[in-house]
Amino acid sequence: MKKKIKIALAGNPNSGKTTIFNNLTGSRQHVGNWPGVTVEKKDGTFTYEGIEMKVVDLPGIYSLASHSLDEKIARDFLIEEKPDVVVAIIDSSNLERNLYLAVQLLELGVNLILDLNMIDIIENKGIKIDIKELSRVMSIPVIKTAANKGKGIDNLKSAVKDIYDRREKNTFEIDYGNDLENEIRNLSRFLGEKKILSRYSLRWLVLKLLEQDENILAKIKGLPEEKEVEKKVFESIAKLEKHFGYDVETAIVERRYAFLRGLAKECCHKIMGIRERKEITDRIDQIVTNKFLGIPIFLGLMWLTFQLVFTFGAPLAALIDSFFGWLGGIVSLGMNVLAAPAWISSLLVDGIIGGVGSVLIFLPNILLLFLIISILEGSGYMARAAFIMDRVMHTMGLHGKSFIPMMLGFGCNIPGIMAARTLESEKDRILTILVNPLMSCSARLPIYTLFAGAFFAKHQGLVVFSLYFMGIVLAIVVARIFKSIFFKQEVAPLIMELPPYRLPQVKSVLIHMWEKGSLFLKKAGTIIFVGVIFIWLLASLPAGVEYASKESLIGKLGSLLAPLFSLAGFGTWQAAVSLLFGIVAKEIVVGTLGTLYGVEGMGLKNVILQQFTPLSAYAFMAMSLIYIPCIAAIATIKKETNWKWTALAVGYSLILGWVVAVLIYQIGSLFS
Amino acid sequence: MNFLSPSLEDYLETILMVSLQEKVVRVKDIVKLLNVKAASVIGAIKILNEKKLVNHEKYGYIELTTKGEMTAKKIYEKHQILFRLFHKVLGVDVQTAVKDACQIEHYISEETTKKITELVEYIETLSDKKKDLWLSDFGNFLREAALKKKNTQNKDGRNQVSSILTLNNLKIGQKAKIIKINPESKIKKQLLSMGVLPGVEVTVRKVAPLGDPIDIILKGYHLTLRKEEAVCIEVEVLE
Repeated sequence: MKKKIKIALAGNPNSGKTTIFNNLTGSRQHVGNWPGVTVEKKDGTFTYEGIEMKVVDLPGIYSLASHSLDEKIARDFLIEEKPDVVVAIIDSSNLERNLYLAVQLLELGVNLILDLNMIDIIENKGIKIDIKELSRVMSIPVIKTAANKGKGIDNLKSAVKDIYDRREKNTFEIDYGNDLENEIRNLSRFLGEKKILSRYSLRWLVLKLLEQDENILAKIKGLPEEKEVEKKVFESIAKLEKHFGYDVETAIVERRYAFLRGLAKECCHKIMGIRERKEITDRIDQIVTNKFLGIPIFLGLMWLTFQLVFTFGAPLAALIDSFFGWLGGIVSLGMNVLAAPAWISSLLVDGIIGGVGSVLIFLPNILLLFLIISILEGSGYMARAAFIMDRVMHTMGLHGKSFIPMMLGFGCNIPGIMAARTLESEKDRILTILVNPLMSCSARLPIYTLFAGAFFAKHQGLVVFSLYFMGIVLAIVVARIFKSIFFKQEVAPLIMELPPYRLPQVKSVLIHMWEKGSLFLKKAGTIIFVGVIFIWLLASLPAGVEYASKESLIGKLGSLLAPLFSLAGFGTWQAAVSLLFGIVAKEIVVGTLGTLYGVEGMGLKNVILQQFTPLSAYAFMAMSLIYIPCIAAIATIKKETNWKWTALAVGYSLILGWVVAVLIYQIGSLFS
Repeated sequence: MNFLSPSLEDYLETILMVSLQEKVVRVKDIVKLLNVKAASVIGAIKILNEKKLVNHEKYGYIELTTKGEMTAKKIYEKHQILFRLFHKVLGVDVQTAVKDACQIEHYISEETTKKITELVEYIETLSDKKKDLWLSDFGNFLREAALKKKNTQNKDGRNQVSSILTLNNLKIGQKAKIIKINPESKIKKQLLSMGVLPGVEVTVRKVAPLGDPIDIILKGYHLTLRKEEAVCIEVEVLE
């Protein structure tokens, strides 16, 4: 059988893990999700000296304590999948804290290589790290890389092969001091005899029990020896806590860090003569997170992002749109020439070409969005944005990082929903996604323009602004309600590193952008496509009817729904059908109304003036704002969460939209 | 003059106390209570007798005169109110409160005693809830005052006494050493794994433009956390 080495990359966030990963695998990588969760899983392959190696990029973590989903994933992978080699990526400029994870990996009993990444930064500061000493004390191979410059990658590859070939069992242990070691020995003997959870390294298991690690405690639950183990562990903890005067977990962490502090001190040598430069990060932060400038700079950057994504994206989107329009025209012409049945022509033109077009039209925006997001993240600004905006978002029941997704939602909800990925906490992420469609996206604008232009010509700006404002207020209210229903007592803490500013790597940025874009096409694309075809079927059946006429299924559905909307003042089948089409994409609403009334441009305005009153027009706009996000948004929500949350997003927005529209019309009627 | 030395006042007070409990007062009762020699008691009684505060037949019972009883009661009342102030209001322990009351009662003026009595009675009429509020407020005031005092001492460089606060109370630029992380806190694990642990030095670098969260430096990196989370970290101010 051909040899294949399984490698896992582990490291703190911002330690350059992804850059190493990209350097190792190049384009041979695959992005998916970890089983059962939406946390991204990246793996890839490369060959070194004829041996195929498979690399998995674990989520960026600070420890294996499993208090977060990322840590649990990393730990489960290391324990259950047993990779042959684990590479601990260390940010050399923060040796002590980065080594903390490495120590835990060693305690877990993995085959570890220490990779001192970003070594160039620290060496430029005139600090030399004695890797021989580090290697001796921790008894593992240590190598240096500067991944952003592509340096040291070959060393890493050969170190992986070396350690795999040698297959020595690592014997490194931290001395926790007499008191702890005594209890560790006692418990080890006890657990060893009972052979409890023997798939874990014994010492590690004991330490986790003393640390009261929830995951391990859960694994003990249900075992026949549960009570006995709990009692033993509890006795040890009580004894130690009495002795230390504080909790054992803190004591254990303290001793690990004490060891590392000593180690870091021993291994780092400052070469005299090189003057230390003032930290560039501090200088940037003096301006960027300044008390007075911080918020204006943030808003300015957001405005710029918005402009880039939507202004640059718009012509590209229009180009794609007109391409598919042109293609549709050609195809329908061709069909005419071939004298194909009308329904085939319609399926191809309205269904398939229209469907593919409606997916691809989002691509420019999404690529641009992720280009900017990965620059913001890679440079370290994203963490500052959360720092600046957390106060505002926290009062809304959200997280500082929720601001960017919400703001992007004004352009298009799809990138907004996808941008919620930057939130670490699952609850925050879901909440942000659920309320995102209430941010009035640019596709709703044509509806506002038509109706506000027809009925409120003098106060058009004010009316449109009021709708945007309504969306924000509703988002706050809905967020708070959902928070209190679904995520009670869950106040996600904000404990976040503000990483040093760095120049983002062009390669990493492009890879990131492409990953997200193609992921969107693959996952959301299928759902959008199916949805579009489904609507097409509704509009074309039963056979022989005019497309989307009153006699078609969608027309009948519209007539059925119309009475429901009469409470909101727009109880015509045309309005109902246009809203149904709006599910495909909100900008279609206007076009549909035009088709249904058989008019265009100014003619449509006149028809609208007859069919609606100012009040029912406003109610209709509110409904358009709130009800179901478009198919693309639904598909994206599904991709980012699960069917349960997607159903909730669709359900609440439908009900809320209807209720608000009815309230506006009914209360408004009282005054007129 | 009607001046009595503190020890004579003590004798007078003791006679009153015994007379309130027993039918008669004998020299040996006093000897036992005050833990003194019989000769001293007899000597003192003789002086009190001369001052017409007690009647005492040789080898007989000791009796307070009306004047003696009034004087003794006044001293005893002072003792009682001082004890209430020390023990019940200020929380001084019983032994110390009794000892101090015994000393001060001899020197304190009528006027001051009256004011103290009024204050103690006022506090004791407060409802329990109000009393707690009053006392905890007072306690906070004391702690703050103590802190301020220590901090000024620090600035003067005279006395290197440190002060203990929670992290959220640090000002920008202040440096502190972590003493303890509240073991009940939900974020303890996360903080520990990021190197936020006892003995580590932190400096508050910044407060976000809107007043929260804060940016701290520890172990050579920047960490941001909300003030509500910083509450669970106890620190000792270094500078």
